[in-house]
Amino acid sequence: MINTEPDLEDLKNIVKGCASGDSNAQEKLYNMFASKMFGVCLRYAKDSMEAEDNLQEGFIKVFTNIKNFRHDGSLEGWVRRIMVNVSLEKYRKQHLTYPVEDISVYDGQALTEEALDKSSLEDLFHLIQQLPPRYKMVFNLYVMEGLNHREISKKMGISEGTSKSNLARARDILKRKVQGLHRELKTNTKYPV
Amino acid sequence: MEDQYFDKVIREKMEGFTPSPPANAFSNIKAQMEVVATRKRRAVFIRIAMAAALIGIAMITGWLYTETDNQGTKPLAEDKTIQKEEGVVTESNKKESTTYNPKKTVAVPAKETIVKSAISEDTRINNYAALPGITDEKEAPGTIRESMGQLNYLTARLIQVIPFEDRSEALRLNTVKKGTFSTPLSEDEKELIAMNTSANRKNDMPANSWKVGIQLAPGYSSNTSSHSEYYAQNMAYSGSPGKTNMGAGFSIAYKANKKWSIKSGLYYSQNGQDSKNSRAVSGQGSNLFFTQAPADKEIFNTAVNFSGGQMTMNSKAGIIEFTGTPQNTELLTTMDGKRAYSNTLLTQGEFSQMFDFVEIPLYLSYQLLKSKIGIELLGGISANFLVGNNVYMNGPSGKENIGRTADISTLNYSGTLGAGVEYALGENISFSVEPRFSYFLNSINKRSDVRYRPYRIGIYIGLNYELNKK
Repeated sequence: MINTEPDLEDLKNIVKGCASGDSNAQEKLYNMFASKMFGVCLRYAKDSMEAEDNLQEGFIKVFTNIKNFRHDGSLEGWVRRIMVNVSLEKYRKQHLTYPVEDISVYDGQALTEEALDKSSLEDLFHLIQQLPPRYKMVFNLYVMEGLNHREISKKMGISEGTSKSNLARARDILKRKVQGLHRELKTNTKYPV
Repeated sequence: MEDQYFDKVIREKMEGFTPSPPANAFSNIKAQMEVVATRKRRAVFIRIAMAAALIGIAMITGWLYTETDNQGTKPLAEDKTIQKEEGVVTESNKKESTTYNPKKTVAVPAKETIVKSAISEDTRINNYAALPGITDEKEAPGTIRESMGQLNYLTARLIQVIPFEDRSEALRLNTVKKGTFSTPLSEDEKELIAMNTSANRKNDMPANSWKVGIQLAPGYSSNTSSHSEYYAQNMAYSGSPGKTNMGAGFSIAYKANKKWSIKSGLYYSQNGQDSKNSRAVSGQGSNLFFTQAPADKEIFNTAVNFSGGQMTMNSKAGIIEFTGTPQNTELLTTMDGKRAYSNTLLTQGEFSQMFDFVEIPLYLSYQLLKSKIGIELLGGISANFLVGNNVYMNGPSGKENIGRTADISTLNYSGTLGAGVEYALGENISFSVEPRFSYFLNSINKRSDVRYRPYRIGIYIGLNYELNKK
């Protein structure tokens, strides 16, 4: 997969080509962002099938709406927002009837820096994937997209308090599991198979 | 561990998460894009067809409006003949040669008792004032209809050159479907697109944007005129300063940048005037020869001339060539020796001259304000092709086509100033109201002793559709 960074002029030409329906330009744009965006979609989706659907749907929206992109912001950010929105939309459709949980107080988990640093990317991805759907959405939106609780509450149709508690709960679960993973690793090191 | 530190580490690690997407993902996207493009093309085709239908309806409405205005037009009286002059009378024998009897003409309103022609065989008509420039050309009765047919044809041709491409589908992704799932825009995306659109409008208006529209233009037309003294002494004065009428057409505009646009199009419009009593005959317009006529009825009387079997009359716009004697009229030779024309046409009602133009404008417009409501100023010139030239008489028996105005230029130029208010009904569709003032830059009459320049104030009300909006 080609992932070279084009200069601004190239990028403008690619965007222009995409806007006029040039499939070569669309393929270039796709190749530039497909891997990153697939990663984004995987983080939000329940499985890789759904992530693939979201990726395709997201890129169709990108190509159809790229005429509205004015180059006054990051193209990657703009594409990413579309992917996140597609994922969120899918989540909303699937989880309309989820009951609202409100766990207001959590004990901070004693996670060591060493445990966190030694956790691999794949481990962290799988741990995040295992979070309950809404925790996962709130955690991703807050940590990865940098949204605040007010924005998350609007996007997800939940209260700010719920967003805060979901985030705290997600962090708590992740810390516990990362620490557990680290403990497991240490155990395995002492007693290798 | 601090939450912020935890989040930061997770974020940094996850930013490097770039798994390879499935190999066939792009080919699937490409296939779906083709489906979307096909649907868009179909939608554009439907919209263009609808626009063409609307333009056609507008044209037909305008034509019907004109036709309705012409209803009641009666065929020329077949049982009337114009006496061809056989000689020239001198000033001394004019009074002796007249056969006019004032008492006889009091009962003019009764159709059956109308004196058909008061000119006897031995009446001698003074034709020393025969006017130059009169031709034997006759206006075909179907001229307006044929011209409107040409207008519709041109309209259809112009529609064909509209690019078969639609770049304004930003908000129509709701219709995109793939297999079993649909992809409606989410609120966030709509918000995103709206922000981009707003920024687009405020900061960087799209270049190479085309806009087409249809307009109906009710208006008021009048004129300025001047004439030689000789011509004026036999001229029927204008009965009313102007006429209301309906125009219609379609416009096409090219947006050169965010402020300036070039506009053109194809419009049909009318211009005309009414004529009443001849100043020369009636002095100040009073019914000189009809003092016994009922007070609530106005009797038209004006000097007419005969030359080569053609009856003519001087009007503000030019010489009216009669194709026959109007119904319910009386023609007589006057005893008044002050005028160049010694014959007078008497009837109730008044003449109306109508000129039909197809206008091809070239305007430059400047956008003063662009948001939900846009305001613009425009100005430019137009080429006006004469497609209809008719003279009617509105008398007791209805409206009768009695001839044409001679020496009217086929191609004329006018200048236009206007302002427009545009209200966005959607992303690409807008409603506009544009008051415009058009004034002919040349006299539409080619004669040197007649200077006649029409002007029109019209309110152009229409719908516009912006193509390939970026």
